[in-house]
Amino acid sequence: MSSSKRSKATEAPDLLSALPDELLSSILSLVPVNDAARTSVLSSHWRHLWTEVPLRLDDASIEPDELTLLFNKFEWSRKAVSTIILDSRQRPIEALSLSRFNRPPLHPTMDRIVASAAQRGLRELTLISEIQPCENRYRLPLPLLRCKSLHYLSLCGCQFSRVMPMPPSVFPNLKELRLTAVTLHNDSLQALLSSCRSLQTLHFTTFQARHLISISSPSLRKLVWNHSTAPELIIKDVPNLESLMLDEGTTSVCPVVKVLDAPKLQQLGFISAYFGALQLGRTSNLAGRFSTLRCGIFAEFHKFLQLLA
Amino acid sequence: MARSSTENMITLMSSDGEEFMVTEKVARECTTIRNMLEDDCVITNIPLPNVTSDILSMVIEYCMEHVAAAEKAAAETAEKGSSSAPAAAKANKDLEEWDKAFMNVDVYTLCDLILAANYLNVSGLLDLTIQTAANLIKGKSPEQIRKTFHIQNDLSLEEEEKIRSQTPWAFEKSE
Repeated sequence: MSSSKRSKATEAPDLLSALPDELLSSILSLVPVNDAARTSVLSSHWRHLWTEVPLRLDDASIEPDELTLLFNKFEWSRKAVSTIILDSRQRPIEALSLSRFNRPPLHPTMDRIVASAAQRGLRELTLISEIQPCENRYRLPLPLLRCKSLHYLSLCGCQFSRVMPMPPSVFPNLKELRLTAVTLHNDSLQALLSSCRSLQTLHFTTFQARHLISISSPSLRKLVWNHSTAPELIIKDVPNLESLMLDEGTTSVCPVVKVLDAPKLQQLGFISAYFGALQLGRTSNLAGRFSTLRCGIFAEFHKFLQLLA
Repeated sequence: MARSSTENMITLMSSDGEEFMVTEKVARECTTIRNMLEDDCVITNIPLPNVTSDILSMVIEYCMEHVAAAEKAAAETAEKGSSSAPAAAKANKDLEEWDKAFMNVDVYTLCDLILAANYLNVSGLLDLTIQTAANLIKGKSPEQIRKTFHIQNDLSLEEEEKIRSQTPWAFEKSE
């Protein structure tokens, strides 16, 4: 021990390092992973502390300096992420965002990372994969579908496993699902919605379906249909739906939107001229509450509205 | 139960023997003390051998401020039937400002407050102090952090290099 580093130590005690490890872990859990990892060189006491903190990791935030060639940049951050996740498998993972594993040759590595995270308390997951062509899209691995801890899932350019119907309890505790440019047939979607018993928020963004899309979910409260296309969108049986947002993006085409049974619907937003017809069934709370409608298209709205009652 | 019971006074004794008289309501902000009171309701004198008088007085100051803010909000709600949103937002903001000013302390006091908040189990104060410590680490280089908290680096140059090489991504942006 060579602690002959001048005699400053006696007059300025290090009270932070003297705190119990659990408190230091709480502190480290509040800083980004880069900052937390840097504490590993503070002193020998701090060496492993950061590795005991539940991980929140975004591969896009882990980058080399500008001198590294752009060609190697993604490879470099992939390697760093694989090391962090796969080298210490006991470490809890709270949140994960992966966007650098977006080509088919990288999918096996992403599978290993995602499957490992799913067994380590993962609560939030964002996966961004290459959108075109369709067969190159990342297929969600089965261990993820069974993940009990997952609360938030955002998928871009992915597809669900061909193993359909789904296992009986898919994402049993998922609260929010965002599907962007995801390939999913209506049957699979229905199977998914009926097994996600806790789902409250569902977003479709640039979602393209050739068949009608029918939504039934006992728990769903909010549905957003954004820049998406389908011949028909049917809100079939969603007893707890409170908010339905239909985006008026110029690429949105949805000839018919039918709301059959959504008795708690209170908020209907962003109706666009691109919707061919809107049919409202059992939506008792809706009358007089079009607060979120855009004024500019309100005049057109009456043309589309047909009450089934 | 009875209203008067909330006005009971409790004496808290710091490690250096100083006594602090507080209302039971303020004392109950500390979950550790609340549990003691629930186990033994006639207790009126509580020794706190882990907390010095200067830190204890700060913890009490924090608890009194937060109890007063909660009481004020409750009184306003009772008076007007429902609390007005802008008033509540302003009260929240005022309390946040107060917290922020309260955290204007040196790192020693901060570390002692973390320990005391943890020992007495004052969750609001623990969150506040932990966040303040995290803010002192965020975006800083190891050298800056060592300087802030007077951390002695006992790693050799070779050891430090080795650790850095294991997580190179952590070091390239800050320095």
